[in-house]
Amino acid sequence: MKTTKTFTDDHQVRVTAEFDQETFDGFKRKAARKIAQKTRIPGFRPGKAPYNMILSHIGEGAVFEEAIDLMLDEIYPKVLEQEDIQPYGPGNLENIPSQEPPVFEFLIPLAPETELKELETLKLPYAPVSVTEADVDAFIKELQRDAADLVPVEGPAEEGHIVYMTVTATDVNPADAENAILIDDAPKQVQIPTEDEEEETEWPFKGFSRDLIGARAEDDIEITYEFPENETLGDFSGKTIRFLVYLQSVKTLELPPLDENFLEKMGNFSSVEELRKDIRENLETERMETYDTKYYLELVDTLRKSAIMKYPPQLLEDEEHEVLHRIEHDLEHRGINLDVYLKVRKIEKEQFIEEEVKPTAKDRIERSLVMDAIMKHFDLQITENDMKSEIIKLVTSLFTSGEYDQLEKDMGKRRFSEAISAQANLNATETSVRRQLRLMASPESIVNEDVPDEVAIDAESDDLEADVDLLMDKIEALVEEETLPLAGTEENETPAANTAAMEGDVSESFPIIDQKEIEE
Amino acid sequence: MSISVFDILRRPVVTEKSNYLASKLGQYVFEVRSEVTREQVKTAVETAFDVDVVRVNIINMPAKAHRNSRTRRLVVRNSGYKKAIVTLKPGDSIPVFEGVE
Repeated sequence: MKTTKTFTDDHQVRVTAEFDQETFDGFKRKAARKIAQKTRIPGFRPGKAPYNMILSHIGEGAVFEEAIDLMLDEIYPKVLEQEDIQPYGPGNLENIPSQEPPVFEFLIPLAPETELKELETLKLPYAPVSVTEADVDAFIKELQRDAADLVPVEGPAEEGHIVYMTVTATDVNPADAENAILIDDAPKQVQIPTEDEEEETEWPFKGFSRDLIGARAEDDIEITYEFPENETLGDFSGKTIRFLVYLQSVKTLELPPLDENFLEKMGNFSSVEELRKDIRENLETERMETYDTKYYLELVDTLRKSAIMKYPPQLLEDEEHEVLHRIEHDLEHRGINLDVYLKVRKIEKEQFIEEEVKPTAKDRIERSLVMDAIMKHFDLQITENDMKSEIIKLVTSLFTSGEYDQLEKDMGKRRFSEAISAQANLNATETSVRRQLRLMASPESIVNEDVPDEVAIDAESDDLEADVDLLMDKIEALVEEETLPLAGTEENETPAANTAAMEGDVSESFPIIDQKEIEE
Repeated sequence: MSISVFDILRRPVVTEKSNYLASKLGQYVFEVRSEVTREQVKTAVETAFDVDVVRVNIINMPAKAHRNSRTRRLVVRNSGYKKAIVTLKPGDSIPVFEGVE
């Protein structure tokens, strides 16, 4: 076997392999025998006909093709070995320049390579924003608003009041008198904003609701407005419209006092201080998580910019499929299919793939490549403890969201535990990469952060209102099941498998549309 | 009217068995006209394929009769034929059976 290789620009390798005729003839005979097993040749039992008989009966072409198939199965791994090629995926038989003796030309995508630069000089201060008393106040206000009652107002409407009204819009200079009424008695409601809160996109024009200030319930108001030519509301463009507004009622939000009732509603808090403490903790975790994600993405992106990455186009294609598939899946969960989504967004599928899927896929690949490179560079290992704590985190979150049983039922016990361990492995990888990155970029920020895993577990499970014993049992069972076979899995982990770790939810980066828009 | 060589030899018989005979024993099997003799087969094979014939064995293959399953009538489905097994001098071979070698 003689082989030569040339590298292409897109990180693939073209290998020409030449074989002697004898080897190929051997495969031809093997192929003929294989075909003969399935073909009936008159005068012979299946598989008993001699080679030449088969050849003349079914034709040389068929035997040749079968022979090549058989041969490739056998020699392809040898070619890879001889040329010392680390492939990303299956190679392609591009061309057969000669049949006798056989010469094959393969195009093989290479495994991605990443060379990290500026790893040593990577610096980024780790400074999460802390939660202030004002933040907590704002949050409590928000809670109060959610629980507030609507109370009718006797006096004139003011800022912050909610106005229920019906609107009739008439064209002052109609081109055709029959269609002068553009909106007939449509019910609307609006909360009158303060001047700072006013939005450019207010319906039907900016400042409309502020015109209602001072009106009372059951008043009729007339507002005339000249719309500019390029008005986004098609019907009104360039027209002078007279709005007749009838105020059905004016209401105000009455915030509930911070009393026992309110505290009980919010989750059985015994005092305002306790509520504040809880809110503060939640806000802190939330902000920490957002900041963490942002921080590490920034680090990875910094590394990515300077890194030299080589990967074959197939990797990108595969990732595109994966991204698209995930989007479809996520949309399905919200009860929409991709076509409807694209229609609502008024975008063609090709354009969508080109402009949104492709860049996302590229980001995900490159980030995961960087993460892999970091893993390799620092020789990071996932310990059993890491795995354990990740599994516990996952199971706990599934339990608290109540999805555990449903998922287990849907996927089957075996697949479910496999999925959990795979995800835990990814999470553990990410955690260790993050730890390493932060250690480099901002070593001073890690002082007393290294909480032992066991403590973290206890803290989490204590929070659970569910049956803690049952939960712990399940976790124990899972941990025992998972950790054993996982010891060796890190090695054969493909870079693509890692991508999910960077961004759990692809659709995050895509505009989210709500049900209302779809119905429209 | 003399019968030509190609009237005598109708077709080679290519089966697993004839294939075995040809490869192991140098015997070639033909279907021949039903009225020909061993001598005629010998001459025909020698002139047609330019080989030396050592022996000719002849067998009359009986017609295979089948019964019609519906009418239960005996229906003859294939006619019988005369089969000649020609043994060649060692070293000789007949290329008609090529594709069999």
